[in-house]
Amino acid sequence: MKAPCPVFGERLSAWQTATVQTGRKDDKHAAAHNERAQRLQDELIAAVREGPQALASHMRSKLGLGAKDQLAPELPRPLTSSEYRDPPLALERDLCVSLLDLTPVVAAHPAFWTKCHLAWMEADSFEPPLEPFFLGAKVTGKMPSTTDAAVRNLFRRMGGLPHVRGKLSVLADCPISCAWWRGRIARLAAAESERVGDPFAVEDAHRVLHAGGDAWARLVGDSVRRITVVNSSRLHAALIAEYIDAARDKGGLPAKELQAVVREVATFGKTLCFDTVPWEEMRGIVARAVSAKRSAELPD
Amino acid sequence: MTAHTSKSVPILREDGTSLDWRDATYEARVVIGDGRGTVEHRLEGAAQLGELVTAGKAEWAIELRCPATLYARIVGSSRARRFRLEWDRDGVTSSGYVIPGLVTTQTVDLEARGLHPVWGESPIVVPPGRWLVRGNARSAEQLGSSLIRLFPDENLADGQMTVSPDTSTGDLRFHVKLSPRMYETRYRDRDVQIAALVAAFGRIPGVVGPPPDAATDEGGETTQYPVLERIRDVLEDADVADWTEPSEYDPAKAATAVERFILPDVADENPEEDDE
Repeated sequence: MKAPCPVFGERLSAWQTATVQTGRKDDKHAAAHNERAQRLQDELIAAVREGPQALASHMRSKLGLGAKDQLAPELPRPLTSSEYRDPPLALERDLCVSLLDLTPVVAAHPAFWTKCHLAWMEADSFEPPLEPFFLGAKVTGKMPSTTDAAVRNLFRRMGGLPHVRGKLSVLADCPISCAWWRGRIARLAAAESERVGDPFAVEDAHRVLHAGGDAWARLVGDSVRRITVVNSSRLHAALIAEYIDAARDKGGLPAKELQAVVREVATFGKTLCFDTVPWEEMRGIVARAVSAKRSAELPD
Repeated sequence: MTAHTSKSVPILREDGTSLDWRDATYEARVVIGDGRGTVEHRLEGAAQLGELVTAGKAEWAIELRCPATLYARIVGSSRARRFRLEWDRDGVTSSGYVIPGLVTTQTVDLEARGLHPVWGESPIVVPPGRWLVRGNARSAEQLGSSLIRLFPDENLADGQMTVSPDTSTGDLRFHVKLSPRMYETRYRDRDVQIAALVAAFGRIPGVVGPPPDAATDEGGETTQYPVLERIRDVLEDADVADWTEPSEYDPAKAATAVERFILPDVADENPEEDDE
């Protein structure tokens, strides 16, 4: 699978920028921009309500795309809106199989996922109505109070809204992209656990990364913006090993605890080379960070 | 004297911000191609660090990070100071960056010689997997950091730059002076970096002298600079003429074969948080 050409990425970025309202008070052109954006939003939402073929046609027109792109990977089966917004673990695994040939460089492009969504809509992979898929809130599917919020949801879900959310968006906002990245990190971490002689299964690793509610968003948010050293596969493996039992037994992860633990462990990255520090020591560092966090939260 | 195990270890930093080593300096020369590169580590004033490498207790290494693809790993390590790097091109975008250094591979006893007195007189026990030397981060696409160094110059008008060669270290480097506002944004403004690189490539022929005339064997001596040899390797791989072929040499093409202008990603340094 190839990354979309840069021209398509530019057109997507330009369309998103024009369609999302700006709230910058120092922007004297904001009123005129937002008036135009409102018209574009109304057109877009109308297309959403008409259904997948109409929406795909509208987007192709806006993005200057001609004939249908046959290069997008297929989804394993049609999706309901709730499982699209929050894919169950079994569906995530199937998605990862469907997208096995995808490379990180391609998967890091919001434009790639947008093109995929066009193809999936044209293949009737999303059961109408489309509003709960793309416009509604993540948990409930309920429509937001403003068209701007609804359109932002659509762009985020279809591949990301980088001019607002930066590199994080494609990793944390597009549900199918998130599924793929979780699968990838799970595979790399499991391979590392095998390498250091303390193996766990890819399926168990994926369960940990999938289980956390907004834990994934917190993890990648820090990984992209603040503490990039935590992208070490050995550290991922150590974190997953620490939480495997909790994910299996409780079905969820304490998201805030995980984020605090990751931040604490990241401070060791100034002196530790995570790729070469002995595995037992890495496990110990993670375990002590977890213990410290839990102790700090115990009532007096 | 009793050795003690310390949670912190002395680190020699390329940017000079660490005072742990009294008289030592470290510099890395990194040349990056497409999914590959070379690094040369230069260390002075900390002989025992070099001895650790010779004894097989530490090695030179370079880490590559690409936050956009959740990637952070060692992409080259060796007991040799100069070695090649390779990484999965499908795993790293142009926003990746490399951090060179020296890392312990076994537990070592670091002696006090050369260290700041604050570390005491007793040997320091350093476990494996510790960075003892840490270089500056360099963009994995920013080959030019080996060739150019940026400085502010208040005498320049806003938006001006100058490029001049410096061979005082024995290798060639170009000093790029920027007007103060340009200097402030130098790490974010890739166009400034590439413009400086193109200018530097334009000045290379004047620095190295004309190549020998093939017909008459006449011509000036060409000085061999290690950085240029590494760049020539990259150009040769890319099938782009270098300065030894004056009739073919195009400084802009050569510079951008090594490191390209890239259409900037939309700003993500201060992303606006939008509400659900």
